[in-house]
Amino acid sequence: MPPSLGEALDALGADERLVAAFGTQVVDWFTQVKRSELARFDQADDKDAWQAREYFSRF
Amino acid sequence: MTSFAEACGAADAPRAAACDSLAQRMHEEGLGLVRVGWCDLHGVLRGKTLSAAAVPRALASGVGMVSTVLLKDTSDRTAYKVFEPGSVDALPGFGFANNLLLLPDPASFRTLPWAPNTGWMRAEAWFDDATPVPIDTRRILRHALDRLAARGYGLKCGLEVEFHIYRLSAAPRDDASLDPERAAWPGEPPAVTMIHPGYNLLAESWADRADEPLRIVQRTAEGLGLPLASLEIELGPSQVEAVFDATDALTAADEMVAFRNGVTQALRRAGYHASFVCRPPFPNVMASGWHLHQSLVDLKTGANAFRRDTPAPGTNEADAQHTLSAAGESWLAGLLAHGRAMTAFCAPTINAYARFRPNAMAPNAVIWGRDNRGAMLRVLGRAGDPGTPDRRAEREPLPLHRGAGPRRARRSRPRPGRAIGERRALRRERGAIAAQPGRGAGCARRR
Repeated sequence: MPPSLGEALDALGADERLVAAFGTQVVDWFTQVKRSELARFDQADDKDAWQAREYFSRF
Repeated sequence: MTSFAEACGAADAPRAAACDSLAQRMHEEGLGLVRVGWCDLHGVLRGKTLSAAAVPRALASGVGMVSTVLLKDTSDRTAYKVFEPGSVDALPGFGFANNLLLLPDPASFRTLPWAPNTGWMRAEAWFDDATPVPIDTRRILRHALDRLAARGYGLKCGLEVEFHIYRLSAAPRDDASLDPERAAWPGEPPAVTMIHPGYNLLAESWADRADEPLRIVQRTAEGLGLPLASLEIELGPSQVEAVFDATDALTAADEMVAFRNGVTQALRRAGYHASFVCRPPFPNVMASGWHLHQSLVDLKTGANAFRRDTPAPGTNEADAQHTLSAAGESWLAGLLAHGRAMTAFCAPTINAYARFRPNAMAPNAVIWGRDNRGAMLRVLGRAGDPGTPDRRAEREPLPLHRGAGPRRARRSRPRPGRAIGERRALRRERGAIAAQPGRGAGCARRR
């Protein structure tokens, strides 16, 4: 299984049948929103503090 | 004049009757506020709180909501530069932070058990020209279920939800995340202590320590009309699990949203912090997963379409058709074929990947097994077994919304390959295949 969110998004985009079933618009939207999250994580100095604020506070 | 609800094609006789009964109930129960809730991409309810007087207008004309709410990531930042030309070309109807409309469903009306004199309704999102917004997660699920129904099947799901409950260290009003000097985007997490010390799986004495918050969970779930079956002490420190009876897939999705959002709110009022994040930010924590029990229902007969009376001739326990019908085998093959791609929906946060570790009860390979908690998919029960009619295939963790499903039934239908770890069958075959978890991809190979 994909070991990270980035690789999972790559696997999603590469599955043509699944993309066709959901529709390109839905998959592209989901991927863009999730890539935004990943880009901010990649820029964070303290990954643990980032996750505590991003996820533990709110989810 | 045509109302917005009529233009959307939503204003039928049952809805009119539901609007009438809602108005009567609000009057009788003296409800002052009604929340209109729409579930975002991340499973969080958003919407507006209406005064009682504004409810009839909202039912007829919808409630305006800025469209950027549908484009936000987990920190509430908009993932599209909506004021820059071309940035939302792929999403017709979006741009310049325009308004969408939430049309409430009066049949979903309920009162909130934790909030006094407050009603609640679920809504779906519409463009102002009365066309449906396609990037609405509930609508995506409904369309997938419609395609399944066109083939004669319904999907039945059972939820098992692991999560963490912590006690707030300070009174809710003194929480550091509410200190105006420390406000940030996103803000600090609350300081917490645990409700049980963990590492005592299913221990009754730990359940008793956690009695107060678990009773809040129970009252909230039952007050929302959710089919709660059990509350359990999980292995991890401060970790618990809620198990629900199986229902149709759309109801199960609605119930998950209601449970997660309701429990979070009710516990917070009582001084607790519920977290449905996979791995809370503490040492020695156990990551939470969840399991989605899936079975297909034959819409004509109401029977479980995965069930078979006797094993298919010539099969053993490593073969899907030893336990499952041809339709069940096909469903399993579809889940395996799209297992890698579906991971992004099943594990949609960076944090969720902390759960995938070797020798854990979380899968790291796209494989299936019988009652094997190391496999991504577990096939439960036996041919002719009436005892587990709704819990035939289990996928971990839970897809938010499924799009993978049965590959089209045809003569060359893809097959799921052999179950992993079937020791009895393997002994009979004298090691014809090795039970190596690392062979996951090989297991999914078509025969």
